[in-house]
Formats: sequence, C-alpha cells, structure tokens
Amino acid sequence: MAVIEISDLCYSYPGSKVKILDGLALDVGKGEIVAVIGKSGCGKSTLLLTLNRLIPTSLGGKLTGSIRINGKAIHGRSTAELGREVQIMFQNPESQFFSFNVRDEIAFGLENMNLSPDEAERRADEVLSQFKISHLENRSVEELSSGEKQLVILASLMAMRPDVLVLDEPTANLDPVQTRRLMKLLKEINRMYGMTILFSEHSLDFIEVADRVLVLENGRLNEYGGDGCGDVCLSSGRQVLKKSKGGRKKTVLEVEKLHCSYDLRPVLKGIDFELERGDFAGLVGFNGCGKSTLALNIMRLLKPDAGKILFDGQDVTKEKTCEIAKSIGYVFQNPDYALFENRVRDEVRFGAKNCGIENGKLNSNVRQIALALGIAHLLDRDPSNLSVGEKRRVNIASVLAMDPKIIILDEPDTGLDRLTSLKLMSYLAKLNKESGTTVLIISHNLELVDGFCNKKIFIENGKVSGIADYYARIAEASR
Amino acid sequence: MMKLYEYYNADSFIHRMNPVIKLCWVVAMTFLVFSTTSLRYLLFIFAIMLLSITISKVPFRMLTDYLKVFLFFIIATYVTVFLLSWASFYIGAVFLIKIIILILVVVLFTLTTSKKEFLISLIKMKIPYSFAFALMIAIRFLPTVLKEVNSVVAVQRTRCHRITFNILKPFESVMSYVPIIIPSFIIIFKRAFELFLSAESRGFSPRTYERKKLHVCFGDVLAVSFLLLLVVGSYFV
Repeated sequence: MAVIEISDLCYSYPGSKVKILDGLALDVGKGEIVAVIGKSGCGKSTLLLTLNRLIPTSLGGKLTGSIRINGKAIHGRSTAELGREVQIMFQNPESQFFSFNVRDEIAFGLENMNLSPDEAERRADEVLSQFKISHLENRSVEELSSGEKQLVILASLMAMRPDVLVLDEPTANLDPVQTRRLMKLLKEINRMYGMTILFSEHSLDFIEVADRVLVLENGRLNEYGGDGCGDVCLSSGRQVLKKSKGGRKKTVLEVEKLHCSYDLRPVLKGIDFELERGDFAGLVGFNGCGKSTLALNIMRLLKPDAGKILFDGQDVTKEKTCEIAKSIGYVFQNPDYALFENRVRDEVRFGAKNCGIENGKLNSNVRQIALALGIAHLLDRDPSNLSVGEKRRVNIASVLAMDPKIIILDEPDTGLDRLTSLKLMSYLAKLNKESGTTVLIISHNLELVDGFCNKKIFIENGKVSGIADYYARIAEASR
Repeated sequence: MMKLYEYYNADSFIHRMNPVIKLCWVVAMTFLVFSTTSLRYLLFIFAIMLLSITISKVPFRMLTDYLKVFLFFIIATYVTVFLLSWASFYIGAVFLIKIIILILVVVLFTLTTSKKEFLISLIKMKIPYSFAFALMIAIRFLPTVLKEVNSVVAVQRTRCHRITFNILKPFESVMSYVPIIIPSFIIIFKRAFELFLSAESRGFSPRTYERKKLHVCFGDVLAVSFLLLLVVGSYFV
C-alpha cells in the first residue's frame, strides 16, 4: 500500500505565475526510502513542504492537486495534526532548536502531542539510547557539534513516531564519516520501524541509501538514470590538474607551527603546510577539526596563539585583515553574509573599490569575471532575488574582482546541485590554469577534492596528517 | 565566557522548588533590598543568600565568575558614591552589599531554574504569551544572532570594508554600518522564519505550556513562610 500518494500536484509561490511543481505525481510505498534530486531551485524543498501542508498554510501560494498520506487526503488538515504522520527535518539544524538542552528538545514535540508525562519520558529515554546520545541528555544545544545537532533533531522527530520521515538535504553540514553514519542510521530506522523515508539530496554518496532515486525537473518527477555529466566535468578537472603541476614553482603561502585556541579549547596544535603558485589544494577533515579556524587565522580574523603565516615569504601574522584580503580572497560558506547592495554590479565592485582598484580597470575586470562566471546577465539585478547558486557566483566574483593571488573557498558546493558545483569548480580550475591563481577549497565533497585538487591537506587532532588516514577513516565508516 | 542565562544541573532543595515561588523570591528580595537602608538587615539577607547557595549545590566559583564580571560596575558605583562625600562611606557600603545581593539572587535563580521552568512560571504568573515567548526566544537566540552578526562583520572585513566612526562625518559613519546591518537583518529574519516552520511542523502551541502543572512541595511552603518573615522583619528594622 502506498503511504504517500501524490497526483497532479501544481504549485506556484505567492506573487508568481511560474509553476514550480507542475502536474507532479508520486507514489511511495510503506517502508520505502526515496531520494529526490535535481538542480538547485528546481522545487525539491517545495515538494517536501507540501507533505505536511507548511505549503500552502504557512508559506501561501497556489496549490492544486491531491496529496494522500496513509490513504487520507491531507487537504483541510492542519500541520500540527499531520505531525503524527509526517515529520520534516530541515537543512539547517541550528535554526530548528526551540529548547535549551537536548532532553527538552526531544520532549518538545512529545509535549505538543499531549502525551502523558510518563509516556513522553519513556519515549525520550528510548530515542536517547537508540541514537546513542544519552550522554548528551543534559547538554546545552549551543555546545553541540553540527553532527550532534543533526542527530538530536532527528531523534526528536523520531520520538514522535511519524509514519513518514522527510529530510531536506540532510548531509549539507556533515563530513563524509558523519554522512555514512547517518546513512546507517536511516537504514536502521527504516528496518526497525518500517519507516517510509523521503529525502532531497545533492550528495551522490548519500543517495545510495535510497531504494529509488527520482529527478525533479520542470516541476515533475522522473526516474533517475544517471546523466554522466559529472564525469565529463571531472575529467576536465583532472586535465587542468596535470597541466598546472608542470607550471608551479614558487611557494606563495607557508603556515608554520600554527597554534590557535577557540573558546579556550586548543583547536590548531602546530599546523604546518605550504601552497605553491598554481596549486589547486583541498583542505579536508572531519567536522570540528579546525579547517575553518585555520582559514580564519590565515585571514587574520582569528589571532593565532603561536606560529607563523608567510605570504610570498613575508610574515603576515600581524597584518590587518584588510591588508591580507588584498592578496588572499576568502569566500564564506553562506553567500547571504556578504550581499547588501541593490545591484549585482555594485556588489561585485564593493571589495575591489575598498582595495583602491581604479575605476577603469575595475569596470573591465567586472565584465570579464561576470562573463567567465556566467553572471553577466545578472549585473543589474537585485542580489537578494537570486538563487543560491547565483548568489555564490556573485560572492566569488566580488572576491575575484579584488585580484587576489590566492582564493580560499569554504565549502564551495553548499546549496548547489552537482552540475552547478562542478561548473563552478571547472571555472576555478580554468582560472587556476590561466592566471596561476592558487586555489584552496575547504570541502567535505570527495568528488570535488579528488577530481580537482592536486594537493590535499588533511587536518586531524589539530595537526596535518597523511591523507591516506582520511580515506581509511571514511572506508572504515562505510563498512 | 559569561552566558546570558546559565543553568546548573543538580538535584537540590532549591532546584526542586516551584519556579513561580522562586520567581516570587527574586521579586520580593529585590523589593526588600531596595526598601531597606539597614546594614545589619542587609548582612542578614546576605547570610541567607550564602546559605541558599550552599543548599543549592551550585559551586561558589560559578557565582563569583558573575560577580567578577560585575566587579568593575560594583567598584565604580562604590567609588562614585564614596567620592561624593566622606560621610557617604556608610551609604557606599550599603549600596555595595545591595548590588552584590541582587546579583546573587538573580544568578542563583537562573542557575537553579531551567529556562523551560522559567517560561512556564512566567505564563503561570499571567504574563502575556507574546511577552513570555519573545523573552525566551530572545534568550535562546541571542548567541545565534551574535554569531551571525560576527560572521557578517568578518565577511565584510575580508572585503576590505572598514567601519568608521567620526563625529564630524556622521553620514559617512552611519553608512559604514550598512554592509553589516542589511545582511545581518536578512540572516536573522531567515533564521526566525526557519524556526517558525520547524515549530509549526512539530505541532507547537503555546497552550502546551499553559497545561503544564507545577507542584507545590513542603519546601515551597517553608520558603514562602520564611519570605513572609523577612518581609515582616523588614518593617521593624
């Protein structure tokens, strides 16, 4: 029997005539795990939000067609009422915490279900032990790592024992080991409760957990057959890698015995590595290992406890961020942190103008970069109305316009579909090859790191370790 | 780093007390401390506070951490009062003890009352939902908001942006905050909306908290009786 039955589903957002879902049909059987993939902005999250009527009740818009859960039409039912049947885990666990400690968070949904205190206690204890998070029970949610946060949210949803579990890009903030742990956990949940699971995802590794993979395109779902596009992009990346290997000579960035503490906890305990001109390097490591802390140290956004950072042989450890940013560009994970201008053109020019690059040169630079990144047609648009992929390219363009010698990108594929992230990486590879710009990406995405990087730096326990250990740990988690 | 609202998990008489009664204690203590000028009475209340801390099993170190943070404020107040006149030495000492007691009362309350109990007690005291929830969400989200604003500042610094403050150029000074304020607001609104969606999908209703029952135990009766004695006692000193 189908647990989810969707037929002829059409939806357009308030104020828009574009149907993001257009005659969509889907049947998901009991105990089935189904993955929905598709380009960024194709409507994956929209589809998921229709299942508990957050669309249209909370987000508005025009929804037509039929959705039945357990054979009953959901039309006219409230989100709270549907909560017993469908639970959604959103992409960012940070903004889903309503309570202050783990136990209260797990109890939150149970209290809303009006369960007796004894039953609520029993269920909370059950999920705490099932998810092996009993040791976190009294911890403040603010102190948890991103992997733990995700686990707690998942546990709090499972305590409500829904029939359908919906996950919106669950691996967006997870490293490969945690991704594999989540895969195992979902399989276990599915086996133990016969739980129906529907999730949207960009990670190729993660969709292996699904019984069925569907592609959302033009508002409809089709069975996934594999398009081979990624292979083409990856092979071009490898070509770039071969060529760039021959051209590089000079060391541009050296990090020597770098120590740094964060919240009184030592995070970096003697980092040593160097980047040469033309390197395309990948900085990898598990959640909380200090990758971003290292990048923030390089940009002097954090002060190191000890050690040196040399750029072109000169110690920049005591330089100001504004000075370092003229040579080292840093692209943050969340593009929204930067965007504030009314036009994309002004946003791209912002950093370069602050650097004192003269207008004539800047205008031609902006045009070239916009063309190369495929955002030339967006230059007069309002950045806040762009898709995540477009915003990210605007971010990168604004950093490139500052003409840096090194560009550091923190999780460049966050929020991007596979094709868009591969396109973006191909552009960076081209830039790296043609202008010799050194690129350092901080990423959990093994496809990008393996496909594009000629140098891999693995951080573990605050130090640089052999990359073989990284792959060994991932292989171990997969078993 | 000092936290805005820190809870110390322990099983003690004070932890088990009804949060509404604890909140009444805070209000009554504030009233008593401000209404008296008797140094002896204040020292007596201070001794009660020390006893309460011992009973609560909260390490003294946690409370002294808070006192250290306020130390500058405490000393500055004392010096200011002291400098006004030599005769105000006594008033300065009274003022100093008043501030220390108030800090101890409030911090002991937060350390022994979970935020959820605090929320329920506010609702039980007929504080409007909108105010009680706004307060709790603000406490819950303040660290997140600060983190996001710091990230925005960091991003703009990597784009060579400098925040300027020049009293002679007020317009320029205000404009230098625009690249920080706009993205910060956008991010905070997004986070708030995500929280709303998450709460909705988990069937949240403020009524859930109204239905919660708070029990009154023997300890609460004892605490209320003692509080009444203190109030009556303050009339005679």
